[in-house]
Amino acid sequence: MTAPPPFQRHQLRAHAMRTLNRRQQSSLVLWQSLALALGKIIGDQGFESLFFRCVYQSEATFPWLVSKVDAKAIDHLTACMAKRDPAQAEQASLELLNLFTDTLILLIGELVTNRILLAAWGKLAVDEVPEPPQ
Amino acid sequence: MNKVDIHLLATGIPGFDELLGGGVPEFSFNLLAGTPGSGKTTMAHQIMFSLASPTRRAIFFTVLGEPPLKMLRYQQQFPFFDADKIGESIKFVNLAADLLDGDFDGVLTRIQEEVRDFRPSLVFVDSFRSVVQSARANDAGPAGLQHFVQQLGVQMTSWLATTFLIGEYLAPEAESSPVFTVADGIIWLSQLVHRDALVRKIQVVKLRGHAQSLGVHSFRINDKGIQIFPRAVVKAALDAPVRFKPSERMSLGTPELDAMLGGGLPAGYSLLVVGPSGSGKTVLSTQFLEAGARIGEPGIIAAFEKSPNQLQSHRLDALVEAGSVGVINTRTLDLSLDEVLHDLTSMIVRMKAKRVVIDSLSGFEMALASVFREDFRESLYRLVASLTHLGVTVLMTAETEDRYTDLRFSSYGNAFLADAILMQRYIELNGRLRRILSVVKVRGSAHSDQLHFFDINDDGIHVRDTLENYEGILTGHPRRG
Repeated sequence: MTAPPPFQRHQLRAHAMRTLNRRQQSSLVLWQSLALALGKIIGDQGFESLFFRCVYQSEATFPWLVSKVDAKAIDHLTACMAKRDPAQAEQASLELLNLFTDTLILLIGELVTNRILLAAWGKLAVDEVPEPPQ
Repeated sequence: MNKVDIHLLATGIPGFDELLGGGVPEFSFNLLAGTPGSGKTTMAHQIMFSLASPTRRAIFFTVLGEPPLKMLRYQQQFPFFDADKIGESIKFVNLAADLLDGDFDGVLTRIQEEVRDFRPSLVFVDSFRSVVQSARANDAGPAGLQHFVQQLGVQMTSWLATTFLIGEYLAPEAESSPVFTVADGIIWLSQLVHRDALVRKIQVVKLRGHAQSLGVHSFRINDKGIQIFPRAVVKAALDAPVRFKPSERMSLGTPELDAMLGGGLPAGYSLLVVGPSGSGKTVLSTQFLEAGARIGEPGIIAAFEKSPNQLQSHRLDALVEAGSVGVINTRTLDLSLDEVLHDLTSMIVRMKAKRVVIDSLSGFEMALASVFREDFRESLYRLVASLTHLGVTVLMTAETEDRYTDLRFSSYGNAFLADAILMQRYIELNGRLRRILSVVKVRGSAHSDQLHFFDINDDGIHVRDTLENYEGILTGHPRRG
């Protein structure tokens, strides 16, 4: 595998989602990878508090995401999404992801955020990128 | 059999390698200790981003203390923070959750796993203070901490990793800390607030394997990161002082003035020009630099009092633009002598300067942080001795009060530091305020003992007649004798 190109986060996410769609997996995989990569750097507690801050921020659009918050971030999102129409759940998950990465950018800047997203989603995204011509 | 060759790693922090005797020994186990806010994390990041590469990877463990999000947020303001290195060359790992469990062995195992997977050559643990506090808070206690530190030291050395533990320590507790026994190198950072000025200090307390630069050195955290001003630089320069022939003289740019000094100022001397405000000290300084520029001798002016556009305006500007004169211009009031000396020494070496002007001593004193002003005489002594040993001839200006009841050469009692003294004064004569000058001293040389009128016009200083027919001149009210 060649080294991943310097993706911008939207391209990176789009590429990764293409792979997930092909595998018929949901965007929860993106969340799981991000929780792992970011949690390693800022601690699981750090990830959890950022996540739930975003959940509350999006309450007006997706009030069903705020209901009964007593589980860990990814478990909570999984449970909430399972109760909704898959298309609606997927849309909420991706918008929440946008809000989350935008918040992260506000805190640590785009450059560092992109490096973290690359670590989290790089493999998923690169699966979709053809090898460059020799 | 060959002895082991300890490779020294360049830290990327200006001045730090000189303190460490060349750099950080590879595979060493080091402690960066100091009070909160003293610059430990910045120093660790600067070293890490400078050294880390795909073939020399670094892992940065954050424990409790500064939240990693904030650390990343603030540290990336420095230019050394290269986000592109994160991932392949640098990895950040948070150990807060592991430490909250209070299981040192668990933390050790986690560190070992991360090191095994990423194979870093550099390992940082920030803040190690959290580990110490955790040891006190749980059953493991000091014995557990000692075991932890020793195991960590053994593990990191076995993995061929150069390790830095970053910790907040106060001196008394540090002495009893097991970390101090195990560490190969201990770097101590501190900060001192005196009146309104903050002064930062660094000391290499311990360094196994080779000689470090002893003593306390000053450093600064600016927009670029940490910069250290080691005394070692000046000391090294002093090892081989430049010697001059007694006959070698330097012109002050006015033939009559040179004649009064016995043929110019002896090379390598320090000349103190004293006089009240507006008497022409800066004009004389500019002429001194111009005279050097004419014969290809670069000069430097350390302008502590006036900004460059307030100096001799176009005349000095022309010298600076031509590259004949360098300007060290500072108006901050928290400098250390080492910082001033570092800047001057660097510029002298770079420009191969032969002449240095310090304008003025009162401005220099003001520019120093208040804590250094207390021993200004010692600072000045070191400055002058260092500069003259470097082979430059120094002209310093000092303002004296308009006092006519006694004869003073300096407000500081520092006249003894100068090899030569030139005095300027005002006198009242026939309803006019006239300028006079006299050479008070030129060590080891014959010189004029006469008082001369002098004028200043667009061309500079013009030495006029002597005041041989007057007496009571120094009282400011001369009478015809």
